[in-house]
Amino acid sequence: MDYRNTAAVIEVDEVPEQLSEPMTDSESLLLERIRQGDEGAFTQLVSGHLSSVVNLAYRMLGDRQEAEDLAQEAFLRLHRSLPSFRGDCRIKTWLYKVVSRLVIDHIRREQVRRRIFFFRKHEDDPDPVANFADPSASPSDQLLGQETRQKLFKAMEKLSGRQRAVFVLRHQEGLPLKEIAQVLHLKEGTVKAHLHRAVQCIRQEFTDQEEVTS
Amino acid sequence: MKRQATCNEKELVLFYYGELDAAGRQRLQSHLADCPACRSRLDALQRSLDHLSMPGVTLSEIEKTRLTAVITEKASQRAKPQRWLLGSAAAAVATLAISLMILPGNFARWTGQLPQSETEIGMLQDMELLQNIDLLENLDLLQDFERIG
Repeated sequence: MDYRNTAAVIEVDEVPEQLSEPMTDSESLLLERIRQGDEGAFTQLVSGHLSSVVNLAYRMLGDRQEAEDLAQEAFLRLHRSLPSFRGDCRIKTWLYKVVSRLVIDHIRREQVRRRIFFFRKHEDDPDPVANFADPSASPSDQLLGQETRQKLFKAMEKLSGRQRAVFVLRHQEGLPLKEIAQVLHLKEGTVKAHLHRAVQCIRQEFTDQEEVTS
Repeated sequence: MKRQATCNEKELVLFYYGELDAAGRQRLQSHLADCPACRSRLDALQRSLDHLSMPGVTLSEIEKTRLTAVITEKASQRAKPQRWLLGSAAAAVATLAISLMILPGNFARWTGQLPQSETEIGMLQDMELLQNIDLLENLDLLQDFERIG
């Protein structure tokens, strides 16, 4: 892959364009209180969105600690960009945008680091690092089953950061593709292609497994 | 079951997620009426995706409180920059300057020989990317200082 024309770090501090839902009155009031230095208001904001933000990052990465770290960074960026935050979209949408891009950037960096330290010649070569998903399942995960979780994350490992983000945002979070395109700064056609590739890869993982066990 | 020239796997995925416009939906439904292969594919797609739920993490109240406190604390700290961070940023700038000397364009001057293979060139580009990432992270901090102070 040629990185010469690729931005090393995705800029995620800019205020997003108009998305489907504008900010509610209660969110505007909360942001106003934070701008006036009310630390309790920021705590309230973080507390209200923490679970969904950590879960979004976890579903894309499969690692709880990394998910928590990236979620922290997303909230810190929100705090930092409050002076220029116009409120064109819901706070949750803005956080989704930041988390998705932080995850994509994180995955890209990890892939580069692995290529450097293991001297793989091509991006498609087998990865010597088996990056298994976080084994500490939550109670809700027990319904899913350890094997299914591992298969899912194994399939996700084969996807690029953008493909993972598109799949999680569409399949799990239910965001329309049009909105995902705005969140990830991609053309809608590209988002459709990423979704198709992700679905193919995930279905392949489950089909292969069924063939092995039958 | 034989595929037709009009079969389109990508459209089946979009149809499943309700992402086709009215015309596309109508076109696909007409196609499905005549194509058992695509009907079978759509069934398989529904079977595999209908109950596929991504795993999540459950944060206990204690964990939530701890994490929220950490984020709030860091947010207030970021508003008070430390002098030593400027030193780190300067070091990163110096690191980038060194890395620029060993870019593929300057490789010959640096080592006296040209990179031999695509692998070497790729590695050098990766090194450059990593250096840029670290540098940009530090520039981020510098921008904070400029904005605040």
